Amino acid sequence: MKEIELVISQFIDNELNDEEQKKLFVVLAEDQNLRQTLSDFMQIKKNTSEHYKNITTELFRPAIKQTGTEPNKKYKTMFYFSLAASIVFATLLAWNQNSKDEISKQYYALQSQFKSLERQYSNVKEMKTEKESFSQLLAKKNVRTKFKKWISLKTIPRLPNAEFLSRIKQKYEAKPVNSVAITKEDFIGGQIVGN
Amino acid sequence: MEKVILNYKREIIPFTELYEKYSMDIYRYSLSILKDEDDAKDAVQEAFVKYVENESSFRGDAGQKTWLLVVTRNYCYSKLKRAEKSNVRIDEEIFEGTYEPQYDSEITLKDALICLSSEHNELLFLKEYGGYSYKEIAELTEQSIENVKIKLFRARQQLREILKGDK
Repeated sequence: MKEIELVISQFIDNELNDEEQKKLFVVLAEDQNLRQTLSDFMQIKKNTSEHYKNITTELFRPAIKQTGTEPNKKYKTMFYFSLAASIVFATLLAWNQNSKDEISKQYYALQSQFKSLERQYSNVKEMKTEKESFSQLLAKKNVRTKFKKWISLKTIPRLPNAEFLSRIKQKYEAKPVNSVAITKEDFIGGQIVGN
Repeated sequence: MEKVILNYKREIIPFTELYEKYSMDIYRYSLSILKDEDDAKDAVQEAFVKYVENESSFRGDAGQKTWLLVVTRNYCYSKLKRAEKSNVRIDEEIFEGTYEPQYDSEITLKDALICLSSEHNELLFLKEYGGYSYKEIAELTEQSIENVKIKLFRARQQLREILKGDK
């Protein structure tokens, strides 16, 4: 009997499958007491549910500072904000890096161009100064004469003039040179005897 | 015991809304166990304070309502245990002359429910009001489905007997 009542209890809790329900209906159809039990249980179920639903009271909410949900929201917002800021910062940094490269490229190109121009300028300047100094040098009278003389000495072989030659001839002819005559006989059998 | 994975809602709602939504249910649940209105109100306060304290670590593994029910249950049973210990030495003579059971008057369902044990009351609440299945009740109260089935049947049987005046 109690086993069947247990099944009835499960039935009103909607915990029986179709097969079990069919078996229960067969038993219920034959037993008036069991039908009464079912009726009682159903009434209890209904009344208990109603009873709990009707319980009301004045509840006071605990005085709690909400630390859970709103700070979470705040942290979430802060997190997303910092994420967005870091993305923007990274983009700016990357863009800045690229532009910096271009600028530096241009800078180095201009610098090399400038250096080559500077070199050219210095060469030209040097040449000019050399020319100027040379012309200045040439402008001086004595230097010009010396230069001309030097040039003439360097480039044109000069023959001694006739007067110079006659003077030299006179000088060496006036003073006869002491000389020793060596004959063939001096080498044959004999000893060279000096004076 | 069979481990049952409950399929509760994973949605986490803010505290204010949560309180409005579940405070009365928690009160009714604690009243079914404690059978005292003031103690039940204390239990509600305790449950929500604990919820706020643990909200940061709450990840919605179980539903918020289930979590509140479990916390309330633990609080209620620990309170009952403490009350049991402190009531052991109370002299029964204190109640002499003050308590007069009225056998003639009609027993209401409320009286009948008070006569039931806290455990039976709790199970009836979870089933009839909460609408939980045997599996869910078994998980919540940490016992087997068979036990839930039998205890619910006994609670109903007992209730019927009290209402009929057999007990």
